[in-house]
Amino acid sequence: MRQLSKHGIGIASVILVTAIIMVFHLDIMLANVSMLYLLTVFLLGLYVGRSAAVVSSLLSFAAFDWFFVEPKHTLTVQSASEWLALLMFLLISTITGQLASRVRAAGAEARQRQAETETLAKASWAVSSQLTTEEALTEVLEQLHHVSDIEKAAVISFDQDGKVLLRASTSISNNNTNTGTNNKTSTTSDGGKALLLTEIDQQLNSIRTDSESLKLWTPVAHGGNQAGAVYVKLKEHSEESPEQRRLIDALVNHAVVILQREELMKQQSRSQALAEADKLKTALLSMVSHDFRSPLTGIKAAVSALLQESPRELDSAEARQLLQGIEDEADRINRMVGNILNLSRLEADAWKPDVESSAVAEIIGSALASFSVEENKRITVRLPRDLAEVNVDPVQIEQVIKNLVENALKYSDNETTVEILVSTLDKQVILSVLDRGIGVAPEDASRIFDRFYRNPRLKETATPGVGIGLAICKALIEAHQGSLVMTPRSGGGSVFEVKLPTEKIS
Amino acid sequence: MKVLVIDDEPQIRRALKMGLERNEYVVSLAGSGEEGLDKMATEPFDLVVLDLAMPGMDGFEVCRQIRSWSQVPVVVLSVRDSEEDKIKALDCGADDYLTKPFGVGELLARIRAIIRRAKGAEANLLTPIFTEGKLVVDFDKRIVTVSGDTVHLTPKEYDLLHMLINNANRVLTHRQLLTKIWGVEYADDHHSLRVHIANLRNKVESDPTRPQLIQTETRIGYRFVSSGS
Repeated sequence: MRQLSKHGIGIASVILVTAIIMVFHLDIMLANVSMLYLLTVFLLGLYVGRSAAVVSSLLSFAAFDWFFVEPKHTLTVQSASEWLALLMFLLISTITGQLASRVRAAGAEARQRQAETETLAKASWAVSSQLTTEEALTEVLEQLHHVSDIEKAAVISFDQDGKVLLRASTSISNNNTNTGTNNKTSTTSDGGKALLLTEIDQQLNSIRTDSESLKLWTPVAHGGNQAGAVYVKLKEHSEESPEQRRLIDALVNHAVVILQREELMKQQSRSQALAEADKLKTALLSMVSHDFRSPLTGIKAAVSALLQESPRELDSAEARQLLQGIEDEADRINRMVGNILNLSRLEADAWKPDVESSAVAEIIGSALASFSVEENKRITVRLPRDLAEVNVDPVQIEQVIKNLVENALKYSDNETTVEILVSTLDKQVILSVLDRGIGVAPEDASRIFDRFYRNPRLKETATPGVGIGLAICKALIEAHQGSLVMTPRSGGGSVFEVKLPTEKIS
Repeated sequence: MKVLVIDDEPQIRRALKMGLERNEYVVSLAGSGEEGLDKMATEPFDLVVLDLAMPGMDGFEVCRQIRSWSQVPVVVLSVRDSEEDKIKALDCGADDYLTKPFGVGELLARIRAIIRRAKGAEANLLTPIFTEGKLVVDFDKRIVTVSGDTVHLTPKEYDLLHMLINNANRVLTHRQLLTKIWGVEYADDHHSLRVHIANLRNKVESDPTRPQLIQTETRIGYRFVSSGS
C-alpha cells in the first residue's frame, strides 16, 4: 500500500509540474523545463523515497519528450542531438533521485540511531538512578514500548518463599480490542504485589497461548537461583528488524540488571542486619556470661551455705547477712533484665513517646526516688519556681534522667556532687546533669552515644556497663524531637544537656 | 485474716504462702483464675492477691468477675513497664498493685494499708491525729503542722492530703482523686491536680524536689507513703 501511494505521489508530482510549465509557458527555454523536472525528482527522492524518485524520473522523461520536444505530442525525436539531451536528462534525473533518496535514508538511520541511543540512555539512567526497583522497571518497559511494537511486556521476580511477584507490566487489559495505533499502552507497577502463580498465569495467558509471537522470556539468574524473568511479546505481524531486535535485547538486559541490583542490595542489607545482630548477640552474651553470672554465683554460694549441714549451725546474724546478700543480688539481676529489655527496644527502634502534659519537677522527683538515700545526698537539684509543663512521655524522660544521673554518679568520686539544673529558653526546657567525674576523652566525644560503645579504658575497670545507657537516652530524646549533647565541664567533669520542646510535639 | 493467692507460678505461690503465714495470715492457694473463683465461691476471704498474667483466664477477667459480686480487697501483681496494665487493673476494681519482682515486705505493707483502710472505712476508726515523721495532722481540728509549725493549707490541699493519708501506702489514681475532690466533671483535669500536689508538697515535704511523703506513680497517680501503717 505504502509503496503504491509513493508511486502515486511521484505520478501526481510530475503531472503537477507539467501543468505548471504549460500554464506559465515556461517551455520557452527548454533548459528550464528539464531543470524543473530534475528538481521534482530530487525533492521526491529526498522527502518521499527512492521508488517515487524512480517513477517520477521515468515519467518526467516521457512527459518531457511528449509535451516539449519537437515534434510535440509524439514520442519520436527529430535530431540525434535532442536524443542525446533526452538520454542525458534520464540519466541525470535517475542519479539525482538515487542520491537524494540515499541522503534521506542516511538521515532516517541517523534519527533511528539517535532514538535508540536516547532510549538506552534513559534505560541506563533508570538502572543507575535512585529509583525504586518498580519505578526503574516501569521506565525500562516504557522505553521498550517507545521503540518497538510491543503488545505486552512484564517483569516478574520470585520472593524468598518462591512466590511470584509481578513487578511491572505494560497494561495487559487494554489489548487486542483496539488494534492499530495503540500507542497509549500504559505501564504499571504493582509495587511487588504478591500474585499467585495462577493469577500470573491468567494475566499472561493470552501471551502464552499464541506462542508464535512469543519473543522473549528471559530468566534472571542470581547466585544460581532464578531471581525473576522478563517477558516481552511483540504485536502480531509487526516488522522486526535486526536493529529493533538488538534494542529490545538491550532493554531487556537493563531490566535484568535492575532485578540483579535489587537482589544485591537485599543481600547487602541482610549482611548489615546480620552484623548489627552480631553486635547485639555479643553484648547480650557478655551480659549473660559475666554480668549475670556474678550475682548468680553470689546467690548460689549464699543459698548453699544456708542449706549445708555442718557441725556448727549458722547463727541468725550470719544467716541474715547471707539472705540480705541474696536479695541484693536478685535486685541486681532484675536491673539487668531491665537493661536487656531496653536494649531490645532500642534495637527494634520501638521508642514511641506516649506524650502527655507533665511537670518536669515531678518527673525529676520520681527519678530521684529510685536512688538510695546515700546517693541522693550527692545530688542537688535546682529548678525555677514557675516552670511550665512540657508535653513529653514522663516514663521515658524519667528513664533518661535516671540514666544520666546514674552515669554521673558512677563515673565520679563519692565525695563529689552531681547537679541537676533546669531552665527554659525559647520554648525549650533545658535540663542539664553536671558532674565532677572522670570526664569524656575528646576522642570519645563523638562516640559516647553510639550503642555498645565503651571506652576501652572503662572495659577493664570494675565499673559495669555495656554501653547502651546513653544510646537509649539519645534515642528517647530524639523521639521527643529534642536534643542531647555532652560538653566538657570547665574545672573537670562533664555536662549532659537535654533540650526538649515545650510545644506539642507531633 | 484469710488471704487467697492466685498465681500460676508454684514457686511464687509457695514463697507467698510462707511469707504471709509467718505474719499470721491464713493462706489459700489457687493455680489459675478459674480455681481462684471456685475457692472464693465456697469460702470467704479478707483479701485476694492476684497475678495479672496467667494462662487461661487472665487477672483482669478474674478481677472483673470478683467485683461483680464482692468488695473484697484485691492486690494485683504485674510485670514492670506496663502502666496501662496497672491502670486497667485499678479500673477493673483492684485496690493496689505490686510490680514483679517484689519483696514480701512490700506486699505486707500494701496488705496492711488496704486492710487498715477497709476497716477504717467500715467503722470510721481512723485516728483523729495522724503523725508521719515531722508531719502531724489533726483531723478533728483540721490543723496541719510540720516540725511543730502550723502550715496553712487551702481547702482543696487539705482535702487532698486527707484523702491521701486515709489511703496511706495505697495508690490513688488521678481520676480517683479528681472525681472525689473536684467532682466527676473534673475527672480529666490532671493539670489542676499536679499544681495542687506541687503546692502541697512545698508545704509538707522537707525537700519538695525529692518527695518522701507524697510519691508520684508516673502516669497512674499518687501514693502517700507512711511507715506507721
